[in-house]
Amino acid sequence: MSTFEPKIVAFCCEQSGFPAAEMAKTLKLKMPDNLELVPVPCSGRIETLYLLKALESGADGVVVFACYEENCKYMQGNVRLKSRVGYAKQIMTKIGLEQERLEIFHVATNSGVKFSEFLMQKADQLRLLGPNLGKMA
Amino acid sequence: MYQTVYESKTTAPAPIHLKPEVLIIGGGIVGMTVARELAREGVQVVIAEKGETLGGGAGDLRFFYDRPADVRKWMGELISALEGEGNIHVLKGAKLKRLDGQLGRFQALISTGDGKERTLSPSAVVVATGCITLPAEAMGDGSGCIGSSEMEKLLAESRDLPLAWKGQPLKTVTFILDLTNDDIKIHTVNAIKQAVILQEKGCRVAVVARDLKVSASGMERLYRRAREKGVLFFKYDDPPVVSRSGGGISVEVQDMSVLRKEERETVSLPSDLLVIGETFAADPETLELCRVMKLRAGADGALMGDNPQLLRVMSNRRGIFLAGACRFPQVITESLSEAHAVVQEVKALFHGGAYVPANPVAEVDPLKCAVCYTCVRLCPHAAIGVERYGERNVYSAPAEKDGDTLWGAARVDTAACFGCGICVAECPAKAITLYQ
Amino acid sequence: MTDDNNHPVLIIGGGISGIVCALELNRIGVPVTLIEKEASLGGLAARFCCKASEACNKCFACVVDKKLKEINEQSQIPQLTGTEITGVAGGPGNYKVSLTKAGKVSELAAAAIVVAAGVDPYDASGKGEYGYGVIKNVVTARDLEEMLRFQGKIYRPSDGKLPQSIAFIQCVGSRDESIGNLYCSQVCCAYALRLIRTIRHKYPEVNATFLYMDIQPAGASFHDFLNACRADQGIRFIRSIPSKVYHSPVTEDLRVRLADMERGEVVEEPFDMVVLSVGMVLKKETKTLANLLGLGLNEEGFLAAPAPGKGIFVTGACAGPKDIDRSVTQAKSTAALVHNYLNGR
Repeated sequence: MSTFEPKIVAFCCEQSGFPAAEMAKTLKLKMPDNLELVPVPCSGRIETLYLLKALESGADGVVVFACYEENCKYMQGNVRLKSRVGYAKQIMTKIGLEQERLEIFHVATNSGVKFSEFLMQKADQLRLLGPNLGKMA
Repeated sequence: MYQTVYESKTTAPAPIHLKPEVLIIGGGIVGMTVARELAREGVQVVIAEKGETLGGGAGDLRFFYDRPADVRKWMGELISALEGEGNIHVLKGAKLKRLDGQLGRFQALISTGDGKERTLSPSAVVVATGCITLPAEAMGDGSGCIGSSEMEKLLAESRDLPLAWKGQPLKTVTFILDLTNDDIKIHTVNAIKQAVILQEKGCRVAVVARDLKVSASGMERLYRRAREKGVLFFKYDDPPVVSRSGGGISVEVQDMSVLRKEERETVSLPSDLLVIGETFAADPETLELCRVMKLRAGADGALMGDNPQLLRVMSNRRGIFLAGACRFPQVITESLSEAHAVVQEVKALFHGGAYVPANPVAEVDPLKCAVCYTCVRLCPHAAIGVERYGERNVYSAPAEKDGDTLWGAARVDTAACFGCGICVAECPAKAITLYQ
Repeated sequence: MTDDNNHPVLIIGGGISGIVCALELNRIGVPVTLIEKEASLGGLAARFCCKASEACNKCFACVVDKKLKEINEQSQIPQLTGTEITGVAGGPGNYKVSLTKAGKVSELAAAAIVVAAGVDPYDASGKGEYGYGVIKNVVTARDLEEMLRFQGKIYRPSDGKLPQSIAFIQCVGSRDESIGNLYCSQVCCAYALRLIRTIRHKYPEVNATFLYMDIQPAGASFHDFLNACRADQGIRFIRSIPSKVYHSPVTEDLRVRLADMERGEVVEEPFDMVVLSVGMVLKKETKTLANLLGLGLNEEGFLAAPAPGKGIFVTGACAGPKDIDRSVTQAKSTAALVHNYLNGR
């Protein structure tokens, strides 16, 4: 248990999350060890299925980095994402997965520090929660 | 290791030829400036103006606030410059009834005042429809209270004459600002500009405002000049009280320049005339236009709002640009800056003569499409339409009356697609794929 | 003035205005060369932080990062950093510009010149009564932006602790006759309120007091934003510009002396930190540049519009205070006008 490093899958909107990740890298900020970034053109591209699949295939936590409201390049993509995450969370409750394993975090293109801070906090949180019992891998 | 959200295709989408033809909806200063600039580039321009004259909202202005020129004369020069251009065709009494198609091949159905309808096929469309002004709210029974455009007219018509209002000499004028539209600078700009002219003509002028919006080039100096000339400025937190007594109007405002509350007096400003800025509002016809053109209107009808991802003059649809007061009411310099920015965007679009899709493009598999219209409705860029495919297909439902087994499916227009993938995520049949 | 030699358009200044102008001219096939005095592009606005609270607050700081990324991807546009102009010769259509980089001198022929030199924040130590540079916990809004952008937090410089009460003093360096800046810098009311909202979103226990003259609007959705600020219980609006900031040398706590119209008296309010909302001024180097190019200054002390036909254009904040949104629009507009000029219109 002491060597458990939670696997985090971060879906990054290419308009905000991904540039924020790059900024965090440029500023040499700390990132969790077991992190996988998945770029998507808009957070609205992310389907409920992807979120659950990620948890099934080995992720201990899934994070979606989306643009702030009224800052979506494609108008309402981030709003659509919210309802999909809500649906995923409902399913997670039904199958007994903790709510903290899925979260949306709003960032902008230049939110490098927020990106890194949030991921580190999430990693700490997941470390306490323990490994995801829902994974099939 | 990145999970693929894009499939790759070996054939690139075909470039869309762009013939240099633009439709401009709105013949105000923005529409005219865009027209003039594009025409000089050799672009064929059609201006569809809903009224009978060009000029738009700025037609009420007579004075600039930042230069001594005459607005009417400047406007006249702008209009005659258009008439000299062979590439510009002006339609008056024109309304856009329908807009089909996408970038490069829009189909615009326009009805004109003479009852005729015509179809234009521009490559791009510019929306410069401006906004409307609602009359200043009447204070009391409405007499003795005018809007700023009436004051503009009064000042222009009495250039060499003593000031008079309804036959009586005009001695005192009070401007009340910020009762509506507290985020628009134009009222403050016009009020101080007019106050200076009035004071120079011997009038006693007072300006009552919540915040003096001097955030435009040269406004702080104009404000200073107004004070030096003797214009009185009062600021309020609670709106002033207007009352009528003995045939005149009196504006009561607290003198906030005195610190101690006990010593603060309520100042009564007797006024021959009250000037209240007209309220700027979104033109309901522009909102109707948004529905026809599938554009997004923001809060309060201001087109597109202030989405930093889009930047000014861009709209949610490729090939359609917005500028001027229809986006947000602005001072002339800023509106013209937007006009030139639109010209730049159109130049960039037409450069090379064709549009080549650079971003990933979605494609619908017609065999899987159930024509549920979900993607059509939620595409933020109105890039998806349902089309009829002419081939026979055993799975199809019969078409309306033809007897032919025509079947329909959604189709994404490669010129209009922005590659966001929202349709891919929402399609219940998973019929759409995003191709790089 | 047709450019037969296909000389590039020289864009002086690699901030948001220069970058957008370069990108736009490049889009329409006009060759450009972008020069920037500092070691990297971005200018003043590239150091701003995102000021979102629950939703985007339209500060447009992310736009600068996006445009920077865009121009980095356009490697075919020559971008000369660490480069300054030392001389300008020639005339319209054929300027010969002397450049210097790390001591090395070179010459560039330019068909037209765009000045996008930007601005400096007003040096707040010029307002001695506020104690900037002397009192530790008095910072400028720019200092605050950099704290948030690069460290993701705010803190009192004296002890590193989170301030519980912050005073924002507006119009520092603007609308001020005593220092000769008789203009409104246009962006300060909006940026200060946005900073307050983003700080209070992250630290709801922090209270802010907004000390102003007149609230200047910015953008299309300012009405709703301002109402949200007024409704926020943790933000106090006081229409009063303070006369002095005092500090305790022991605790480094501050007291701000101001005339409060609400209470009807002069008070000295305690604060943990004071933020000076500084305005914009033209850089001293830009005045030198203006002389080289034969450009004058306007009444407000910014670059005056050059005479038409000279092939010199001025865009962005160096032409007059403006926010990022308007700077981008003006840069696009300038690109169109440069293109006209090059084609003899």
